[in-house]
Amino acid sequence: MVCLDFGSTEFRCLQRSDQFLTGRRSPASYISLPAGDADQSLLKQMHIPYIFSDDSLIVLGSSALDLSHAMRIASVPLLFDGLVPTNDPLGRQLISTVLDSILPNVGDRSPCGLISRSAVDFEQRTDLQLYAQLLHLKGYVPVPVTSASSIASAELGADQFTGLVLDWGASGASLGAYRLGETLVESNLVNGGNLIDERIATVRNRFSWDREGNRYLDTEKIQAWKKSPLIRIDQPRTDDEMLLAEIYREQMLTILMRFKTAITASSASWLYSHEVKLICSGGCTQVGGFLPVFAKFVREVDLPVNLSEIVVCAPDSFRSTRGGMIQLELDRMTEQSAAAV
Amino acid sequence: MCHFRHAFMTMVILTAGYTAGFADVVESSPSVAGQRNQSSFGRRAKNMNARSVSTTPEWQSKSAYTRKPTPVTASSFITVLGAVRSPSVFETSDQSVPLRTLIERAGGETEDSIGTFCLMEQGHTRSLVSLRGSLDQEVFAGQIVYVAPRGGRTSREVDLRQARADRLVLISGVGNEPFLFNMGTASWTLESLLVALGQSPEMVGQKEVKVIPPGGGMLSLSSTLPHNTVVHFAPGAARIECLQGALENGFPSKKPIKLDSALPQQSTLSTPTYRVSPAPLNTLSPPRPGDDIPLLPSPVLSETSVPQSKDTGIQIEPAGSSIPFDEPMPFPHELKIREEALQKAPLHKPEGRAPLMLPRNWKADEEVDSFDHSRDPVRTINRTSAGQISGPHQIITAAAEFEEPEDRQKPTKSARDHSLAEPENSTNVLVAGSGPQSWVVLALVAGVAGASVIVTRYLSRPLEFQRESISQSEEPLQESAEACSAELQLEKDQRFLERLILNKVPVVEENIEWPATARLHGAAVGGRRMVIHESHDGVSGPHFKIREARDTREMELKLRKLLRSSTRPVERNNDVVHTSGMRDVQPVTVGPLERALRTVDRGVTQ
Repeated sequence: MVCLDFGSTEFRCLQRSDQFLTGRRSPASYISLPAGDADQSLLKQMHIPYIFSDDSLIVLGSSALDLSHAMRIASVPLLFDGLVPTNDPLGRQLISTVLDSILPNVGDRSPCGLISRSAVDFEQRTDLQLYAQLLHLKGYVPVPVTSASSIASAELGADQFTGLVLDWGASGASLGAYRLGETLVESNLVNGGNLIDERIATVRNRFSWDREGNRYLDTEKIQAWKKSPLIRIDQPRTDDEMLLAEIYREQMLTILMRFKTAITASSASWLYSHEVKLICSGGCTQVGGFLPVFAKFVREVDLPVNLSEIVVCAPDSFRSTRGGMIQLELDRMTEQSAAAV
Repeated sequence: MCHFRHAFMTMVILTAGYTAGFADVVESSPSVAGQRNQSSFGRRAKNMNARSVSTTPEWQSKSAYTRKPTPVTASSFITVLGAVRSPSVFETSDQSVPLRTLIERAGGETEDSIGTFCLMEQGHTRSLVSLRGSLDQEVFAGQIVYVAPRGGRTSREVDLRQARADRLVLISGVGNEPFLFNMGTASWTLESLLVALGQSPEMVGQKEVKVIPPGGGMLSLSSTLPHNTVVHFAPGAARIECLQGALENGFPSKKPIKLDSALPQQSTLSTPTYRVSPAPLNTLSPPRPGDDIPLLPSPVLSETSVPQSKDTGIQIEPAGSSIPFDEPMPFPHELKIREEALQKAPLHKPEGRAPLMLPRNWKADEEVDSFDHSRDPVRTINRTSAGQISGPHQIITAAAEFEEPEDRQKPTKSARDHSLAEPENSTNVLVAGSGPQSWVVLALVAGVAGASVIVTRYLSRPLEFQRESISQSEEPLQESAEACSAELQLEKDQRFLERLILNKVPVVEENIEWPATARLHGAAVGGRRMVIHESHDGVSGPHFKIREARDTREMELKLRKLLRSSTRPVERNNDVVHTSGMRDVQPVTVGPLERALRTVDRGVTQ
C-alpha cells in the first residue's frame, strides 16, 4: 500500500512495510548550474549527485536548497502554483525523476493513493493525468484523494471521521465537511502561503539577486520571518505584522464565505444539529496567533455549523499521506470482506 | 386591437388625471406601496396598475377594485414553508409576529426539522437562525419563514416521501397576497407553472421572476419544481388578469389563513373570494375544484404490512418501497436501507479512476449487541481511537465457521467396491478355434489371463485410491490453513489499521537515492518566470542600462559640432591660418577628440 503527495514545497511518499511505514520525501525544487568543468568538479568534490541536461547541470533535493543559499543561485520550484508546468519539458522530466526516486519499487497493480488539492477526477486536471501516467508506468493503480479528506481520515479517527477540515498549504486552501469519511461539502481556494509571501515581498520591496544579477522576490526570507515565534497576527506590533494580519484576514474571510455559500446551497443540514470539530492543518496555520484570529472570523461569518472546538495540528510531513493510506486500507478491507461474501 | 384599446385607455386616464378613487387604488396597490424604494419598478408598477385597472369594463364593474378597497397589502402576509405540518400563508394586521406563534399556527415542526429557520424577504435570504437562538424572534410582515428540513437523503427517498404529501410552491409578488400552489403528485416545471398562471416564460430571462428552490441554487425553465420553492414576481411584472383567470378556473391554491382567527384543523382547496372575468383558457388545464386532490398526508402503513425480522426483532423495511410519511425514518435506519441496497448492487468500478467511496457495510450509530454477527458474514470496522469509546461502535468479528462443501466430502464408496468392478478391458475375447478340446483349452487360458488381470488390478487400484483419498483429505486441510492464514492476515490488517488511525505506527524515513548517471533533455527555463523585470521597463538582464546605438550617434553629432566651433592653429606651417569660420582648416595633427570621433565612426560602421 503506497500513498503519494505531490505538494508545492515537498513530494512525499509513504509505503507500508509489514508493521511499520517507510517514508521518503524530497523538496520540490531544483537548481540549474552551467555545465562547466569547474561546477562539475565542485559537485563531485562535494559528492552531490547531478543530472546533465543539454547545457546545464541539474541538482535536485535538499542539496539544491543548500547550494542555492551557498552559491546565490535561485532555486526553481517543480510546481508553479501547485500545477505541473506545461511549457517546461525539463521540469516534467524532473518530476518523473523525483517520483522514481521516492517510489523506487514497482507495484503489482496495487492501488496507490494520489493526493491532490481538488478535483478527484483525472479528466479535470491535466497534471493529475501526468501523475497517473507515471504511476501506471510503475505498475500502480492511482486512486485520487483530496488533501482535505486525507487530513480528515488522519485526524478525525476518534470522531468517526466526521467533522470539518481546513488544509491551508503553500499552493491553496481547502475547507471541507466530512461525515463518516464521506465528503459532504468541499470548497477550495487557489491562494496559499506562496501568494502571501509574494504579496508581502512585493509590498515591502524585498528582493534578492543571483550571481547573474537577476532579481527575484525574496520569499524565503519572508517564510523564515513568518516562522519566528515573535510574529503574531492576533496582536500585530509592526507594520509588517499588520500587513501579514491583513492578508490573513482577507484569505480567511474568503475561504470561510465560500464554504458558507457551499454548505448553505447543499443539503448537508446534518451539520446543523451535530457538534463537530474543526481541524486546521498546513503550513499557513502555523503562524503565531492563527487560532484566535480564525476562531474570531468563524464566529463573524456565522457558519451554519455547530462547532465544538477548533484544533490546529502540529506540523507533520506525512499526515496527508497517512490519511490517504487509511482510506486505501479501509477500502481494501471492505473489498476483501465483500469478496469473501 | 386589444393593445390599441389599452393604449387608448391609458392616454385617456393620463390626460384626464387621476380621480380620487383611482388614486386610492393605485396608492393602496401592494406592488406600489411595497416597492416605493425600488425606483426601477415603482414607476412601472404605477403604469401597469393603471393599465390593468382600465382594461375591461366588465372587470371594472364586477371587480372589488372598483370599490375603495381596504388597505390590504402584501406586507400583511407572512408565509411559513418547509418542515412544518401545515405550510400556510398567514394574514395579519400586526407589523411583526413572534416566530414561535407562526410555527404553532403552522401546526408545529415535523420530525424532519432540524431547528434552522431561514427568513426571506422579497426574494432575498436575510438570515439563517439556528434553534439555539430564541424562537421569540420577531418575523415582520412580508417575510417568508422557511423551516429547513433535514438533508442527507437521496432524491428518490425525498420523492417517495413527498409522493402523497402536499407539494407546495409559494407564489408571491402577484396581486394583493401571496398564495401557495399545490402541485400534488404531478411534476411541474417552471415553464409549465408560468404558462398555467398565464405568464410568459420569457420573464425568467428578463429577470422579472425569481425562483428560489429550498436550499438555494438555480433552476432552469425545464427544471422540476421541488417542494417549498418560492416563485417571486417583480412588482408589476406579472399579468394580474391572467393570474386571476387561472385562479378562477380552479388553479389549486391554498387560501391565506387569518392569524388572529382560530387554528384551522386542516386546509382545504378553495378558490379566492375575488372574481374577474374569465381569462383565455391556458394550454394546461389545472384540476377543477370538483377534482379530488388529496391534501392530507397518506395514512400510516399497517404494522402487518411491514416485515419484521424474527431473530433480531428489528423492523426491516425493504429499500425503495413505501415509507410511512408521518413518521419519518430515523437516520440510522435510512443508512441501513441504503447499505442493504448497496450490498445488493453489483460492485462496479469505473475504469481509469477509483472514486473515493464509503466503505461497504459501514454502519453508524448502531448497537453492537443488536447486531447478529453469526448471521452477517460481512465484517465491520472499529473506528474509535485513543481508547475513547463514545457511543456504540462496531468490532471486527471472526470469520464464520468454515463449512466443508459437500462436493469435497470423502467418497462414500469403499475401495472394495471399486476393486470388484469389472475391468473395462475385458479379456473375454473369443478366439476362433476348432473342436471342443480347443474350446476347453481356450477357456482355461482365458480364465488364467483373467485371473491375472484381476490380481494385477487388485494390487494396483488401492494405491490410486489411497492417493486420491489422501489428496482429497489434504484439500480441506489446505483450505482450512488458507482460511486460518486469511483470518490471521485480516486480524493483522485490522490491528495495523487501528494503529495507523491512532498514529502509532512508526515511520522510518529513508534517504533518497538519486540516479547516479542520468541525462535529460531541454533547457532550464523554469527560473525565467520568477525573474522580476518591472522596474527596468522590460529589459532583461542586469539592472544597469545598456546604451543604444542612437545615443552614440547623438553624441557623435555633438562632438562634431564642438569640433567645428573650436579652432586650433597649426604650428608646423609658418602660415597663419585664420579659422574664423570662413573656410575649413584641416589640421595635420590628430587631436584626441578627433581620434575619439574616428573610433566612434569605426564602431558605428562596424
